[in-house]
Amino acid sequence: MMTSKKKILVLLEEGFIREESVRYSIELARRLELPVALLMLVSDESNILQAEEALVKRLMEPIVQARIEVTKEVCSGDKATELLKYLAANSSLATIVWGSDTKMMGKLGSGKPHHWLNRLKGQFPCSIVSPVPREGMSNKKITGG
Amino acid sequence: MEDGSAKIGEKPEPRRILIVDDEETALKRMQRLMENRGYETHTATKGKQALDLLKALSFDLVLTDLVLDSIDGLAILSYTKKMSPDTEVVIVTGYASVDSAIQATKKGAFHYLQKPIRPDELFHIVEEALLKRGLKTRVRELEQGGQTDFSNIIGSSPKTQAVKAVIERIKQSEANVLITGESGTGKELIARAIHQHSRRRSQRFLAFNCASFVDELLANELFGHVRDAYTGATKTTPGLLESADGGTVFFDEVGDMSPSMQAKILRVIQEKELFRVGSSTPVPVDIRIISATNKDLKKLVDAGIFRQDLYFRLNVIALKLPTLEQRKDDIPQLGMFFLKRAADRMEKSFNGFSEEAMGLLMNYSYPGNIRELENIVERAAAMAQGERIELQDLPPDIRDFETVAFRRDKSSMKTLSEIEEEYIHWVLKQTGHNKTQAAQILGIDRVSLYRKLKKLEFDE
Repeated sequence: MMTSKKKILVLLEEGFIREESVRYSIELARRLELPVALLMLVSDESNILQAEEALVKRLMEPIVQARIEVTKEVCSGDKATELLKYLAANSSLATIVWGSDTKMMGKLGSGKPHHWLNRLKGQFPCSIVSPVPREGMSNKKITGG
Repeated sequence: MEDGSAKIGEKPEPRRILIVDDEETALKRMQRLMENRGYETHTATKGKQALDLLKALSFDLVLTDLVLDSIDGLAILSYTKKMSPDTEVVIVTGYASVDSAIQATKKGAFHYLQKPIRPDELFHIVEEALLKRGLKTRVRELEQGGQTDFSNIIGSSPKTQAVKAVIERIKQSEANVLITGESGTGKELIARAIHQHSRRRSQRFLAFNCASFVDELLANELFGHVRDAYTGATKTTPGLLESADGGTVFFDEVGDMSPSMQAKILRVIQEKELFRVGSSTPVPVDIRIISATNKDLKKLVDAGIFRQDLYFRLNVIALKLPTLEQRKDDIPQLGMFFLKRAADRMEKSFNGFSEEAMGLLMNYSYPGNIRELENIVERAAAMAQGERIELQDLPPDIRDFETVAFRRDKSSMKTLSEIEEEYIHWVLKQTGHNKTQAAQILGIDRVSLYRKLKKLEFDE
């Protein structure tokens, strides 16, 4: 069943999480008056799954504190397939905030050519935005797993 | 924006008045007085209800009580002036004070009337307000000299000019329009502009969000019901589609329409009639449908979620709205527009943005498009200490982060000729390649169909 309530999806990939994506999504959610959904994609059902669950739970905290409606999901398997499945079940996304490695972002194509996200080019129902700290700002990253 | 005057030889449309009062007795009394004078009235007892009506319909005059719930008469006044600057507003109150009267006048109220109301005084003010409303419309028509008024569509970038050009080009058309574009790109604003420039402009524009209602409620709202259709249906009530007869209906988020509702709407388009809930008697209805979605409707068709026949009926004219990032040149103009509006509301005065602040606004990606810019500027106006919006007045995330946005590949969208080709293919298939019948359905003559087939190099 498709859900029609619009939301902001914070898309995360195991191993490299940028906290600024959460901070940015809080501000964006306030501006657009929308709820937030955190989606963590994990490559397989290895023993890191529990750690990733705990990490996502921690990332949720500031969003909850900001009194913004938030949900979380951790999916394991082929990341591209899992994301497509998620998009099919959640068609009303206002925007996707990419919260992992930014090197592949560039223009999604000029970055890492073999990154799984590049394979999905043209499949997204909305824009994908990646917040990057300006020069001089601290760049907090969390290495999961 | 709206043309309220009747043309020579045409029966004048009754003037439409919205009356807002939380006291039922006072509301009914005013309604009776206005209807006895031949005015068409709509009523609301709550502020939110009034805003919904203002969003859905065009009014010549709003008569509103000052003290309501959290949305009071002044908020209704501001909203009316934002949606339809030519609509006059008369504030009525039992708690008159000099301060509130000054505030109302500053915000553009036509008059401030104290309760208890004397009918002769009310009639006099209503007639004067409607006269002023008519004169404003006439002056605008003369100023335009037959040119289309696009004052509600802010911006002059090539992308915005292209959208305006489409509206201009289709203003004589009765065809259904499908507007696509990301959230916050102004799909409803454009739908209203299409209606206001069409021949249906003196009739209603009714906006409806398909994602906001469950199926049963949607059917009841859209199609109405007959007495005893269900428990509690004590009288026959026409639906919104009937009330929009002769006008335009805007279906927002049309991709969220359920299969059963899709079938019902298809019938309305094909047969130009509807059935009220609980009735088997068809009611004729003449509406133009403008629909909007931020989804790829063609993909939903391919996935079997959206009816192909309805898709073709809705997508006669396709209009894709640009993202704000694609029309960055409009940001200074849009920014000033939102700043002026916020200043009026907050009773502040601004002379613009600092170079740094505007530089930052120009470089941001706006995943929420114009709606997001509007929010950013309103927040900045509230934060600002001086007469100029400075860097520190902008949200911290925009100051601290650079944003890189990726948007859907343009090549995944079909061109108009591709859609036309697909539709001709489909009609031919449906008619068993009977070209006479296909030409009739397509609304063109056989020669034109042959010409198109030749051009498209179809297999004969």
